[in-house]
Order: sequence, then C-alpha cells, then structure tokens
Amino acid sequence: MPYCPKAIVYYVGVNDIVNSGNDSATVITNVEKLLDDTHSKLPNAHIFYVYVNLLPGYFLGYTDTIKAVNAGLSTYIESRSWVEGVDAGKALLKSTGVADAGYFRLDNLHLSEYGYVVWSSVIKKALKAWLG
Amino acid sequence: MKKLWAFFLSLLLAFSLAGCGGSSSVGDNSYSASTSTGTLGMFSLVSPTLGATLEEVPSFSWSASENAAYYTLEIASSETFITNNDAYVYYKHDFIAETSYTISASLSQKNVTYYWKVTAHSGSKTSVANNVFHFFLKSVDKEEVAFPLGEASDWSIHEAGSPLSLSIDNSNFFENNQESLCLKFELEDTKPIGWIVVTKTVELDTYGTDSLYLRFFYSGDDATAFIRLRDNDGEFWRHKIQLASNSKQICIMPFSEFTQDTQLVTVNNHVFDYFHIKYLEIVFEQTWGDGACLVSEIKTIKKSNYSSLFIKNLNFKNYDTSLWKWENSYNFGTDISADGSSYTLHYDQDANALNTVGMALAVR
Repeated sequence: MPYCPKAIVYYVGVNDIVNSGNDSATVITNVEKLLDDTHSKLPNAHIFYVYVNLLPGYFLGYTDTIKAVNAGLSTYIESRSWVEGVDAGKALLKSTGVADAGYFRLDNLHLSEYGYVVWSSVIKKALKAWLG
Repeated sequence: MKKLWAFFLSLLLAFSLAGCGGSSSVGDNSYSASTSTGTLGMFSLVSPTLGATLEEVPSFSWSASENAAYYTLEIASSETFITNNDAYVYYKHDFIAETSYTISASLSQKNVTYYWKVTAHSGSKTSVANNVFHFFLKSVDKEEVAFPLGEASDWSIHEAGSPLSLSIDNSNFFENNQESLCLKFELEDTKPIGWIVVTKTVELDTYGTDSLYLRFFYSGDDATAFIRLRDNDGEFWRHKIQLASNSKQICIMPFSEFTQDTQLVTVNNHVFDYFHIKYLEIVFEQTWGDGACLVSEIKTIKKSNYSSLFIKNLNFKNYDTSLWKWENSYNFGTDISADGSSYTLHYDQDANALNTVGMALAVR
C-alpha cells in the first residue's frame, strides 16, 4: 500500500445490487469483507462508508434491497470504531422518502452534476468534522 | 314654506358674490383661486427648464405660491397626463412642503418627452402653476445590465402551479463566482404533468442591450422551460430554453427572437418594449416528474460582445480530440471527415457493453 491515508471514503454496493442482481446478504458480506481487508492493511485510517442511495424511477424496485443492505451495514459499522457510516443519500430524498429524480441523470442511476454537489456536501461535512 | 324662502335667498346671495369677486379674479389670473384664508398666489415652474434635454431624472423646482400649504408634482410621458395606462408613464407625489422635489422612482421610458406640472394647495383650494414644462429624457446605453437574484423570498411562486421549493445555492455551481437560484420540484407524487412559474420584479432600464443572457442547468425528468419577460407597457414575451439535461448551459436569447404571449395577458401594441423590463419569470411547462434547475448570472447584454461563443460552421478538425471525453469511458472513436464538417460515431457493442442509456460527448 503506497499511501497511508488518514481517511478513506467508500461508496460501493449499488452496482452489486442493480447490475449483478445480488441479494442483500451477499452485498453486505462483500462490503464487510472490503472494509475488514482495508482496516487490516491500514489500521490507522478512518473509513467512511457512504450508504447506498435510494434510486428513483426505473430502479424503485430495488428500494427494499438497498434499505436491507444499508441496515445490515449499519449494524456492522456501529460496533466498530474505525469505520463511520455517512447517510449522504438522505439529502437526495423527497419529503415522501422517495429518491428525487431531479438529482439524477436520465438513467435514474447516476447522479446529475447538481446531485453530486448536494450529495458530496454531506460527505465533505462528515470528513471535515473528523479531520478537524 | 319658510325653508323654501331661505333657500331662494341664499341662492340670490351666492350669484351676487360670484358676480363681483369672481370676475376680477379671472381677469387677473385664470389659474388662481380665492379663499377665505387668502388667495393662492401665482407661481411658476423653474427647473428643469422648458425643453431641456437630460440623461438623468432631475430634481424639480418651482417658485413659491403665496398661502400654499403644500404642493403636488405630476410628471407624465403624455401631454394630457394619462393615468392607469402601462403604455405611458405617470408619476404623482402629493404633500410636498418645499418648492423642490427629487423623485425616488426612475422614469422608465427614455428617449421620450416628459411633461410636468405643479399644483399648490390651501385647504380645499388648489392652484396650478401657470405653465406646464417639458423635458426630453435621453437614454444612456449600457453594455450589460445585471438582474440581481436577490433572496429566494424575492421570487414569487405561482400559487396555482405545481409544488416547488426555491433556494439560493452558494456552491459556485457554475464556477462564475455567483450565486444561483435553485428550483426543486417534485411532481411524481402529485400530478402526471405539472407547470411552474416563478417571478421576480426587475424594473431595470436595459437601453443599449439586445439579448438576455443567463446560466442554466437542469436535471430530472422531461420538461419544457421558458424565460418570460414583462416589458415596459406590461406585455409578456417568452423565449424557449432548449434543455440539455445535466449540462451547464449559457443561454443567449436575442430580444428579437422572443414571441408574445397573448392569452389572458395585456396586449397593447405587439411591440416588445425591452428597453425596460418590469419583471422576469422562469416558466416550466409539461414537467413530467421531479426536476432540479439552477439559474445564475441573469443579465441583458449586447450579443456582439459575446460573438466568440458562436460559430458559423462547425469544423471538428479545430478541436483537440485527445481532450474529448465520453461519459462512463465509452469510446466512439474520432472518425472526422476530410473537410472536418462531420464526425461519425462508431458503436462497438463489445467496447461499450454497458451503454444501455445512450451516449454523450463533451467537446471543449
């Protein structure tokens, strides 16, 4: 590992759900392994895991799986001090709790440029709070 | 019967008084009036002088009228002081104690003759200055006129439209060191098709400029967007914005390409009096779902100052293909024709296996 970062930010899991079609248990296991491996190689790095965003439109059918993945990973994260969960996707929800297509590209999967501004501002806030 | 006699007596007395006192008054000065508390004296307008040509709205002054309690100043772009007509400017200020006054409002029409007069008041009696002056107000041409975004609360949302939230975005989204107005609408849960109108009062002179300029961004479901302006005489004029979803756009809309809205709105003369903009509207129609829109740097410009942004003939050979970027690392090659006028995109299913949603190319 050529670098010794103070912090690492991960946003992984969404493609495992919508492209690979994995169930929530498989995705949770894969992400937990990634986090464990990272921590074992970089024990001093603080890891931020950004929960999977809910998706609008065509991908609404994946909502339950995404919520199950986030819930499972939340339980894993809460019991470990070196990893922190960031719910940046909350900023992309409408008042009804459904993902707001206004923050996404027409594919309803990738964030629009403005969606990234809104989403990343939550991540930056979490990073700044930890880095001081 | 007693009451009837008293009425005839008072009528006779009234005619007698009018016969002696009234005639001398009219003979001396047809504009003065007599009162029991003293005659309002004759007075004259002083400045701006009759027939002056000015570039800025001046202070107005006049001589004192004896016994005057206060004055009324009226300014109009019609010689007959037409009121309540958007085609004409009419300004009135009452209860001026001094013999001069500086108006706080701008006179919106330029390159026109303005007429002004002053009326003196004493109790219920009035006396108009013995002349009406006029001056010519010239326009001052400008290169650009900025329309400040202000606060989100400065914009009004049409109450009959679809649900919308407005905010000011400070993220320097357009990298122009300016704030943006952010419109967020959520229609998927309410109606299948919606519309939105947000309005901001502008009231700015735009002499010398010929186009509207703004930075624009939209992402979300299908929609149709317009800019609508209300001109000097209250007419509505609109220009469509060609939406390029998830792209930062610079929109330059020549005033000559605006079309008039005629349904249920004021129509005076079918002329776009864009030298003074009363207010600006951002209009979305046929919005099919959620959307986020950012607007920044709204101003009127001289289009010729931005000629570098326009090309007459696109020549792909003028661009460095090594800087071309395709979304998500798709690659459609750089097959440019010999004369540079066309570019053929090659779709390779194996190389672009994940391309199920289309393609995008950014040329810089």
